[in-house]
Amino acid sequence: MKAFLGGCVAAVLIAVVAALVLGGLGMSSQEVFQAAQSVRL
Amino acid sequence: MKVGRMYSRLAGAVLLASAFLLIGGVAEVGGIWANQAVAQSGGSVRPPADAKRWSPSKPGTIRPQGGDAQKFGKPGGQPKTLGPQKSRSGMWGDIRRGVQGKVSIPHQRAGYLIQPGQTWRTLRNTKVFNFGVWVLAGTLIVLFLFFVYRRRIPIDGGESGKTVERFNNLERFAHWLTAVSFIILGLSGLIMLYGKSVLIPILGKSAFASLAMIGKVAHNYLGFAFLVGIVLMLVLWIRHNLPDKYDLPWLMKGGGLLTKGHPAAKKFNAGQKMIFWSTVGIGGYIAYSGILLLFPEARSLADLQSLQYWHAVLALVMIAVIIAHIYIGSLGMKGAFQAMGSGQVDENWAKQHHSVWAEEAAGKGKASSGGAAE
Repeated sequence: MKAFLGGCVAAVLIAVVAALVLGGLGMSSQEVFQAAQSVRL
Repeated sequence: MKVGRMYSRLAGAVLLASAFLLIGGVAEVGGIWANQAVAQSGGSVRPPADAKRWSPSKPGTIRPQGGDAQKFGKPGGQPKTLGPQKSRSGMWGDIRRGVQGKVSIPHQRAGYLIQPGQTWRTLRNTKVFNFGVWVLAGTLIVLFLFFVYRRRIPIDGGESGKTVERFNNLERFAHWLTAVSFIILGLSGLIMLYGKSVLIPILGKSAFASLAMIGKVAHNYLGFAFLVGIVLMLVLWIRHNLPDKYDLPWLMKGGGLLTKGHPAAKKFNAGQKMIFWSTVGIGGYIAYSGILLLFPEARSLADLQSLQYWHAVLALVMIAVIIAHIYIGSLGMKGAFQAMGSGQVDENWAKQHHSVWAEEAAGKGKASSGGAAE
């Protein structure tokens, strides 16, 4: 049960973080894409 | 003497003022005369002789109505740079099929009055739509027939009262993270594809619009949770899902699903390995294409349509696979759900379905006598 609830909470948290990164910080999707492209591993 | 000087200064000032009045008055009167002359000559300001003049609108042109020259005292006509263009009977058809015009702004896609998406739209609303109906309905029918034939697969010899740990907390967390996000992604995706046909007649347009909007937002962002879950499962279980010598016999016997005997298997049997690699492979592509679709500026419209097509088709296949997985992991097999519920399975269940793994687990001392699995 704890693992199930943990999975639910984690899914919501990851989605919220993704929403904040993509939308809440004022970056357009193109800016995020360009930033991701500029990353050199 | 003083009086004479004063008179002479006064006379000079009057003379100067009269001269100013005379000059200004002649100019004003001259303007009136000039306007009167223009009015008498036909009521319009004539353009220069070398000015280019458009001919009045004729039938068969799409030129807006309006004069070609500014009339005296009237608003200006249309710009001189807008020329008449011939219309053709197929013009709107071409536009509807996605002919691109020219724009001077950087966003070149604004040159499309109607985006070239009719072929994709038709494909999505007919082929993909029908494919999903057949796949999902077919899966449900097959599972129903299987249930009628086999009923709930029991534990041979009943529950032993002893349990063995099948999945630890981290493994179950990874499973549920992936499962919860996939279920919401699948449902919201089905709302996008079938909502207009199925839900609007039931819920109405307003309620459906709210539901679709919530579903769309959830769909956009839960994709990242699904991706994290896939990566976690890949790291945790890849070594258990590599092919081994038990896979082929398991497949030859149909996994023992249609017969009473059960073939040997390690932690994951061949069927579970197929689900694992489907989730990692197909699910991975669905997540990848979904993320690309979140950044439409980076791709051409044709690429986006292709990505969306495969995203939808493979997601429907994946939903069908997961429906079968959910069935066999809950209703279809006694004792199976506990593996992902509490993490503990009955020893007899383990020996029946994963005999090789059960022996290994017993050797490692994973078994406990803490009562039957929940």
